[in-house]
Amino acid sequence: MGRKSKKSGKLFIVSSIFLLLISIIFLLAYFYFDTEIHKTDKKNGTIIKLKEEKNVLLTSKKEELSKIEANITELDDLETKLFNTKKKYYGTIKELEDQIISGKNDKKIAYLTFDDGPYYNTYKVLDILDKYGVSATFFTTTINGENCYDKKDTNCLVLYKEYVKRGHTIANHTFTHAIWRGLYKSADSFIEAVINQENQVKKYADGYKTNIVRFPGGSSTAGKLKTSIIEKLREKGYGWVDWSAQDGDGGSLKSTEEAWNNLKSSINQDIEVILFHDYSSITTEILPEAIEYLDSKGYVMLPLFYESNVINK
Amino acid sequence: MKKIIIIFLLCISISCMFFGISKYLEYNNLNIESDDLSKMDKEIKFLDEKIKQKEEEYRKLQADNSSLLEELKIWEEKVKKVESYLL
Repeated sequence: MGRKSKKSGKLFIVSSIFLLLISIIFLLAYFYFDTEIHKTDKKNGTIIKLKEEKNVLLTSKKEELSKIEANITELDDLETKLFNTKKKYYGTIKELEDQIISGKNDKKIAYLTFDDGPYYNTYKVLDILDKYGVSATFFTTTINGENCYDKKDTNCLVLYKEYVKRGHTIANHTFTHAIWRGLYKSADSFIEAVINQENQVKKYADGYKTNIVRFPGGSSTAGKLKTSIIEKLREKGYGWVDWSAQDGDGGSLKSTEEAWNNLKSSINQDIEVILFHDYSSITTEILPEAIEYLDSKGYVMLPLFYESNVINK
Repeated sequence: MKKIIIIFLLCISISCMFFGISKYLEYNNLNIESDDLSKMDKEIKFLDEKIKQKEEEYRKLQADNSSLLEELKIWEEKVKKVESYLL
């Protein structure tokens, strides 16, 4: 009996010590992990702050990158953008024309047009137009061949590039301009001269397409052929235009005064298509004053375009 | 009496085990945020390099297309001018 109670006494003590030890170990573990959790929380607090800062930095970097990428895409697509801007330009002129025609806008438009070039004198015309920030339309022909008629040792066809570069419209005045030498023999001979001129322009102005034609001598010169020529032009996607005002430099002008009087007396509409010739030294002389005069009369000087109301299609 | 004491000690040790283990689990599940931080640093570095690359590409494209850009600017000005005539 005594042995048994001794044994159970020992067992009790061992068990108690064991249970106490376990309790102490787990209690210590509890406090250890609790302290670690606090330490980590504190560390994480700082890290979270840092993370927020880095997040802001990351967002700004991403924005910066997407901006640069957008700029690159824009540059990659520059030709399309340029094409669309030109389209918008002509679309806006059309809108202006419509407002003027309907009487809603009291502005006026003068389409300055220069026939028979390029000549060496054309450079002077271009410089004057540049000086006044005016864009015009050049009805070109190859009647004079490659070299300038007024400066035989200089190539004039390089001017096609110059017209485009300076924001003017190149239009078609047929390859030969041979009014009395076969141009008006038939509708086909006329169309052939138009297409030949188109190809000539394309060759010198990187594929530039002209789609506005002016009959050499004016559409009435075509006589009975006019209707069939117009039909064929339309089939090929060309529009055509004559003129409503001029200084008479295509005839036998004697003085700037005469040119000036001709011009002033012929300007009386809200939308004018003014005929000049870029070989004319008289026109070159009166051009600055003519631009100032038109400006003072409320005219804005613009280049022609296919969709314009003044183009017959 | 001994039994009561043993049961009492058993209860205490079980409670201590419970608290200790639960604390351990809580500690174990705690996120150590610094891993994310180094990931972000890497991402920032990557973006910096990419920005540098793209800026260079952009500068090159700008130089290559300078005449087209100039032409575009002229036409944009022309559009603005004509737009100013509209009602």
